[in-house]
Amino acid sequence: MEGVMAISTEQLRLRLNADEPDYTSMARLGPAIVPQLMQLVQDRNQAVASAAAALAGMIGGEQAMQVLARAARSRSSQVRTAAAGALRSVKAPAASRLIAPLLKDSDKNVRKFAIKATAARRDPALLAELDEINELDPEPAIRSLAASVLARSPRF
Amino acid sequence: MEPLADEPMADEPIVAEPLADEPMADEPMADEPMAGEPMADEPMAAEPMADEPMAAEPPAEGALPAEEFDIQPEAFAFESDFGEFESGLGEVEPEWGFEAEPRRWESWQRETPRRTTGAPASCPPRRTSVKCPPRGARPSAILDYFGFDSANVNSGCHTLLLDDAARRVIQTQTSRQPIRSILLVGHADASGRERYNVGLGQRRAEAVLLRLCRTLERMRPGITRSITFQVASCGETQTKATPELSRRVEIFLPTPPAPAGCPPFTERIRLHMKILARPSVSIPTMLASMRQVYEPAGFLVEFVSCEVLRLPTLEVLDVRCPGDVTQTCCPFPCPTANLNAEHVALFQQRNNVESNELAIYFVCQTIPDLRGCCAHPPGRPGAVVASSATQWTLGHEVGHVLGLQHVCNTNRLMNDGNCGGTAAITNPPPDLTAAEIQTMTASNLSTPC
Repeated sequence: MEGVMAISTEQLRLRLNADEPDYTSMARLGPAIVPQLMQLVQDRNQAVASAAAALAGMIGGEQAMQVLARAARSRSSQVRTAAAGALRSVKAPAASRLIAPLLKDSDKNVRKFAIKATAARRDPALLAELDEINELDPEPAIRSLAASVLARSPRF
Repeated sequence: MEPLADEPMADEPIVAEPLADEPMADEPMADEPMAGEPMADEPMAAEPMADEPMAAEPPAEGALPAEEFDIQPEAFAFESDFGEFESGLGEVEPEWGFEAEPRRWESWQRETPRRTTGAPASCPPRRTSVKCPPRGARPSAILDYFGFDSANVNSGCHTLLLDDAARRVIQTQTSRQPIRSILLVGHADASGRERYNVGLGQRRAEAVLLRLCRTLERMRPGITRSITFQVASCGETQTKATPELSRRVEIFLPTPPAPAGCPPFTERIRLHMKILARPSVSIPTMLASMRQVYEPAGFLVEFVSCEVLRLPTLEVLDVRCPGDVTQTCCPFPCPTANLNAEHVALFQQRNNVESNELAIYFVCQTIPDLRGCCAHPPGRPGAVVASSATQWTLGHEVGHVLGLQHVCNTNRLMNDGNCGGTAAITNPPPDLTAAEIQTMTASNLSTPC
């Protein structure tokens, strides 16, 4: 099975710490590297932690969701933004539970990518959150983005 | 189906309000106007005088006090070294990068070297006023975004550019062709009276002269004694696309005539910095690191302009492919039409950047996370550098834009992701091979000196 111990944590960290990590080839390593990603998403180097979150989103699956859940709770806004960005490509319904708090994040960039992740789903609860953002978000650009997504989303 | 793959940002206002909670960290912005932002002290459109207040030329708001400049009357008795050119009689070779120059290059070479170090010299230095150079001249650096009716040098982009110009001047002092002359040309926007704007351009040039002199003296005390300074004002005769871009001072450093080029360099790469977020490694450090690699290979790296972009929706840039958010659109070769709407929107910000020059966009982060990305729309060369960039990332990304591919070698600038990229460089400065230098030279983005 591809992925089992196919790469050491140090090697994986080296590749995630690159200028342009090759996410496509690393994603082929599959769910076997998710435990390593769980470790790396807590790395002190925020670039490594963010890249680990991004890679987890590309691998997908229940285990990867745990990595993203960890990233979404990070103290680093960079890592939370990476988590919000990664959630856009996760199709599992459980992703909505992670997106909801990110829509209320204190960092506008986290909210931006959480809105984009919402746009990729048809979740009435998340769309209701967007209604609130559209009305109340302190950042005009974020309100505008929410309005744009709402305008394109069918309501039930 | 991804209902909104690359989109929502497209119809958003790209230039939005300043973010009160997120100033550029080490760049106090107190007197720095922002891209697209209305000038706080700018009168309403209905008012007759815009850039300048009144015809009688009272001391303008923001103008520096005359005594600070120790203005010497003879300096303003018009004496043009460009007169020969303008009268059509000039036969001298280019020196400023345009065909009007005070003296032949050879005369600089014959000049007896003056003392360049020692006791500090006073600022501002003696200078001569000359005529406005012709439109189209290519300056070495552009300091724009002066405040409305202001000659105040700002502490952000202007300081970065002045420090860089001063370093370059000092660097040449030990070369065979030291820079012995600097021309500063002030400009104003089209608002207000023509005559007033000539004075405003002059004040801006004088303000930059003062700051440049102090910077040079701080870096090498006494150096300004060996340099001839000239100032000019073009007033409102050479405006640019916007008032903010028009309110500027251009710095011209002399260029030796062909075939001397710009020795020891053979090629020139011109960079324009567009700052959306401050990188962890400072821009001067990234530039210095890049030059450590490029200059021994014969490439002069010019830092031409600097602009703070207030684009809050693009500070964290989505670099995923349109229509397929599982793919990162940062391909090689770098020019590509397959970029999402916000990636394209960023690269539309090309104020001051000529088609064979590079715009470098400093963003907070990309999604997914990259330290840099060279992908750019065809015809708009440039690269994105994220806040997490290493000191070598700028040089690495520019290398891609000039045609260099990845290699797996931690001694090389183009070390690839699977080998750790520039963060894994083991023997700094990293190398460029002869073949890579040849590729860079062949690029139309490096121009012969």
